Amino acid sequence: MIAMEQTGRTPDDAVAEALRKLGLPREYVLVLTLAEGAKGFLGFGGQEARVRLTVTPAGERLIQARVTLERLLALMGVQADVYAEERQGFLHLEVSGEHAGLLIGKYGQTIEAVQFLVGRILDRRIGERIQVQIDVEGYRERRRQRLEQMALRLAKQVKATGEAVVLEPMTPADRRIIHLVLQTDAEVRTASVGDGRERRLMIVPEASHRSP
Amino acid sequence: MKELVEFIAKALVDEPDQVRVTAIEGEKITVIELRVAPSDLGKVIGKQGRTARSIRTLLNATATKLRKRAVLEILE
Repeated sequence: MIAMEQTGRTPDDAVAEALRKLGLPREYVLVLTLAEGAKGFLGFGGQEARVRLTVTPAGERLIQARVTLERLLALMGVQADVYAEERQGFLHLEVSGEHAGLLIGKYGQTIEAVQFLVGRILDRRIGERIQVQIDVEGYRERRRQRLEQMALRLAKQVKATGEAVVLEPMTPADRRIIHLVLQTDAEVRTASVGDGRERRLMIVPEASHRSP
Repeated sequence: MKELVEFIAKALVDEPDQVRVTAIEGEKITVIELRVAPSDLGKVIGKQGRTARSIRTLLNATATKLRKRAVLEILE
């Protein structure tokens, strides 16, 4: 269990300072006020406020994730800040700083490798399967937009030619983006073929919609 | 580069005390040798070699930044 004590002008100040040091939002700690603090007169006789913060298990996971990634980045010679938060069913780690390009790598292979290894390390440290997503300077969002545009363009082509298209091998996350964006298009259907790293997405014309 | 491999390996295995990493500096290439307990070999290699491949990817990125080349050898 992680706990820390912090002093400040008021209990609120002390809590804010402690949260800044922990890098956590307020909902991940339990606060106990040890001393309310008192205003002195002309700077004399005042007493500082003192609080004790106990980090919840969810908060400890966030700290663990952030510290692990920060250490890995430092060893790679990358100066960066990491912000961790819980999202629907996974931990999201946001990296900001220099060397974003180096960290993303060709076709995103470096960031995928970092994400995979941090996931593995956290599985072991925390003792349960944890889904981790790592983003660098908005890379994931840019990638999502690019994949969606590509999917829409290819769907158009499939409809025009009536011939299926097989894409390059992609990660499950990338394939999912394309499945989702084409899900609402009744004229094409998506499927995955192949195994493991060779798994590719296919865009197939829907027979009933084929133009005569 | 040596420290990077050591950190990752120790974080993945059951017996971190048995992790040994040595760097052999050549003129152009640095060879990083990784030794782990025999029972931990699978942990640093991973399913279909995915863990080893990921470590190599990080090592390459790190070496590139230092304008060097590095290869990782996992020894049994």
